[in-house]
Amino acid sequence: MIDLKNVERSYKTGHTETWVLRRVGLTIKEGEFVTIMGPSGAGKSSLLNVLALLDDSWLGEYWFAGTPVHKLNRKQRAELARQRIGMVFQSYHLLDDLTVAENIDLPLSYKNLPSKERAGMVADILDRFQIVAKKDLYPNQLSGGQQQLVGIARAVVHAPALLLADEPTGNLHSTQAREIMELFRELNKQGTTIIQVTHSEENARYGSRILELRDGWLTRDEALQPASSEVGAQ
Amino acid sequence: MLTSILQDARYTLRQLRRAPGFAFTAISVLALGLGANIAVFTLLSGIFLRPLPYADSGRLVSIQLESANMPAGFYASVNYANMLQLRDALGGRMPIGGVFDSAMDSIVGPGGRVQVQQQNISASLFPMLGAQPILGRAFRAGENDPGREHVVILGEDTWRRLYNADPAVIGKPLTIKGVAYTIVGVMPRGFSFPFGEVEQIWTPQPLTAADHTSMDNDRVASGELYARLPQGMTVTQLQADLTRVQAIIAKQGTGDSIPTHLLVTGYQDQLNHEARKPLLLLYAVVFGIWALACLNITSLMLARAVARMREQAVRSALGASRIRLVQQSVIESLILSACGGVAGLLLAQASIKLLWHQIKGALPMTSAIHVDWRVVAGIVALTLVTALITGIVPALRASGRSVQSALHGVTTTASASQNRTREVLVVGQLALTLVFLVGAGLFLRTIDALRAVPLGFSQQNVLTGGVILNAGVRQLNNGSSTAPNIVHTAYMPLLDRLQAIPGVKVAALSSVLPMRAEFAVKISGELDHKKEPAGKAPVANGRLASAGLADALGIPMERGRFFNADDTPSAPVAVVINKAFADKYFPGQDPIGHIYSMGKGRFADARIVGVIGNMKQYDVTQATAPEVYFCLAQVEPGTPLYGIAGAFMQVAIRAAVPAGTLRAQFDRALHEVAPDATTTGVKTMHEAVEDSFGSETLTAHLLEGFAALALMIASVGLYGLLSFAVAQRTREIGLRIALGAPLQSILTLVLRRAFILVACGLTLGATLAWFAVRLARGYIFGVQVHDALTFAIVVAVLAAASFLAAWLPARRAAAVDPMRALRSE
Repeated sequence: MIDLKNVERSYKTGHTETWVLRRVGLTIKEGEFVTIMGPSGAGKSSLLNVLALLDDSWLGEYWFAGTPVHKLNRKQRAELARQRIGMVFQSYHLLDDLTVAENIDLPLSYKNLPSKERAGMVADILDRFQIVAKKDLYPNQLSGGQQQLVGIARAVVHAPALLLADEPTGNLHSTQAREIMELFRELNKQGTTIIQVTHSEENARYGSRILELRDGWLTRDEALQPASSEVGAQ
Repeated sequence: MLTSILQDARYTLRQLRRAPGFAFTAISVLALGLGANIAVFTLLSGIFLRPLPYADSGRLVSIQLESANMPAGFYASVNYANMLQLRDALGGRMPIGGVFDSAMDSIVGPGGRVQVQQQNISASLFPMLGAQPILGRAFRAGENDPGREHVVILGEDTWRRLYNADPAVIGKPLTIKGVAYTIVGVMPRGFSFPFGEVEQIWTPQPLTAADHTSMDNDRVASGELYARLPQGMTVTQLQADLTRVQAIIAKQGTGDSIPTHLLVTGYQDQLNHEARKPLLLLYAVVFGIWALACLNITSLMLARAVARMREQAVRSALGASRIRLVQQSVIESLILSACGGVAGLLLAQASIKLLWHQIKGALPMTSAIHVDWRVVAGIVALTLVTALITGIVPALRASGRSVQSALHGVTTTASASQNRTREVLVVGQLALTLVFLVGAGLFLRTIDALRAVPLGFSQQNVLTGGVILNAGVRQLNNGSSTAPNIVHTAYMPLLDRLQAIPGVKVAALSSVLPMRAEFAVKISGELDHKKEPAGKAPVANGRLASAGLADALGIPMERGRFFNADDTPSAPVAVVINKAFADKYFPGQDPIGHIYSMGKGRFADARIVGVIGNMKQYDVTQATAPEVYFCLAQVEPGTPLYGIAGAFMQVAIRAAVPAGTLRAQFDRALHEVAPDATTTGVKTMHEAVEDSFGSETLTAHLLEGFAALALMIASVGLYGLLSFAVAQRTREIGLRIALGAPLQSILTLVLRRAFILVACGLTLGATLAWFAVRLARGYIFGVQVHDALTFAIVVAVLAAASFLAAWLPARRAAAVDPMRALRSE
């Protein structure tokens, strides 16, 4: 599904150039649950931004489901992201002035879908995530776990092929974190390819593969045995 | 598309509800900026854009004759024979209509007594205007023939008041100044001619055979000529053609009194001519106020965009295109602008209502001023442009930011370039404000200078008012020596009654009072029986006055005396000249005892008995022209100036009590003497002087208001910018305090930035103002456009207001709790 060849990314600060990704090459197949790990500043989030098509200033080749992303212009990349990718953030990034239902509807509203169809999709996801009762609440009326649940619902409401999660449980306590990771596992079982960035070994064990970055270099690529459902989470 | 717009609108409304402070500030500033524009645009639309209520009104023209003998701004009336010759010269392609006499009448109907404006017109006027009565008929061609003219057409408002809108009014009799008329028609609602008058009636001007042929202005009917522009001809072409024709008419005519110059003006242009200059200046000012409001709101929206960076980034990450993000921002500014527009409309209406007295006094065509589709279209267009300007810049800046940086919290505060943009906007606001303040300052000083001009008369406790007797102008004008002498039957008894009112010191009558330019008569006479060639004879403004006028107005006598009780009809005719006359025609001589001849008989030997001081006549900025006063008590039916007495006289009452309190007694005294007489424009001399400033007072009041508005907007802008900067730097300020920074250094930190901005704003503003005030050169009086005092005061006021606006955020910065500031990060 994803093919990266010699992807590099650097930032210029004055006269110095700092490399955050160095000749990264990797292939991720459809249905995989990949965890990207590494110490702070290793380039994890930079790689996730490249994969999420939020970053345009990288070098190399990026193939997404056979589409050469590196040859697309900004608008085409945005359209591809809109159709195929969902994002989950560590700080949830729910919009404070929108209700739960409206937050979930947000990515659909950018896809020019008829409002009736959108309302149906939002209702389905609310039902699936068992948050129907909370649909009219605002983010500040929810707990952190509930907010992240809404964040994931928002990310998957348009059934993306790829779900990217940046430290999705970083702001949650362990029980909530476990529930979120179970949800990811469930989504993965249903066919969604997931790539998460985490520091947590426990969370990593929910996935099928671990990538490790150090100083921008991909230093480890290891497949994991299928984990049991009792695995803990940070 | 529509769904997304509605969604964005809903979201915006919710956000505005949650940020009432921002919403209130933004809507208030927009309401002020848009309201000022709407107010002036309402005036502009009514006066310049709204077509007059006549068929194809753009082709209606006024034709005036310019006489060398008349003061600037006055035109000679056109006699009927001249009207016909001009019409015929164009081969009948130019329909014409004439308005001859205009008089105030007091008439009685089932609805009671109503004071109406009577216009004596030619029967051709209404067909030329394309106007049809709603009841009855227009005048027939033969109804201008003497003896057939006793028919009348009522204005709709007159009909409503006088006859309670009775549809059976046609054919009923109506007595006007003692003469029986038959009502033959009622004009439609809103129709008036001349335009803008209310409660009118129209009667045919009797036109004799001599009127059709004679060019002797003294003996035949003359009036104002209106015409419809021939098809395919412009005003300029008509002017050229008619000027040629008039030159031939003047050459063929007898005597030298036929004017050779002619002026053709579009009727609407003629009506709105005086309003053009002040309204265009005001529009330039309110345009500046609008620009100031836009700068302010853009600045506010930029600050808001910084606060909403994360939200924009999330939307972007979830698939919102740049256009969609811009759309949301523009919808937000559109909603704010729409709210501002509605509030501005209400504000504009309230301001117009509040200033209605000054507007009515200073501008023409005020009856056409109200909100119509043009004003609404203007508001909508301005609101849309405002929304685009104030929404698009912050939106483009916000949507162009790095999504990943915003999402990962790398950029939690405004970037240096965003701050710079806002600083530039604040400098712009301060600069524009300084320009407005300088403009307002110059106008205030103009009003002061106008008020300080020595008028030559006293304003204190003097009541003035026009008097129109119900004697019938034509009857008085016929020169018959057998007609009753209204001086003795009406004016002298009126003066006796006025004198008897408790508190009245002296009452006097004059055909013209200063600052009341309703009436002008130029006379040409001989001095000491010396025949001068045409054009060299002494020309002066002729006035009739009763004894006591000099005392009533407090005008000093330079030499000799004013009229007194000895100036009776049987005594030698006395005249008084003013100092300007003496200076011009008796340089270095004593004029007392010299002869001023006017016409034949007793007035050919009028003796100059006094020289009265110069006083300002129509306008305080103009030099005084020569004047000759004749004694009212000495004019009689048949004497040259008796017609003036019959047409219009004005009363001046000096009292020991405030003049305004005498209005009712004046009215009562007049009606005791002449029950059907009417008064016009009763006002104190002080009001007459203030009214004579006309558009200057209105412009000064409006500029004062606009300048105060600008000061407020710019102060809010500076305050907002510094408050935002303090909020952004809370952590830094907290850290500095934690590290031991004294209060003084924190205050300096904030105020130094404010000082730089204010200095830039004032420098830029002073430079702009230096050039902008040149536009005001034609509007100001008694002060130099680059008046140093005005500039200095304005700079000081703006600097003080700016300091206050900067001090509050600086105080807040100094009060930052270091523990909380550091914890919040």
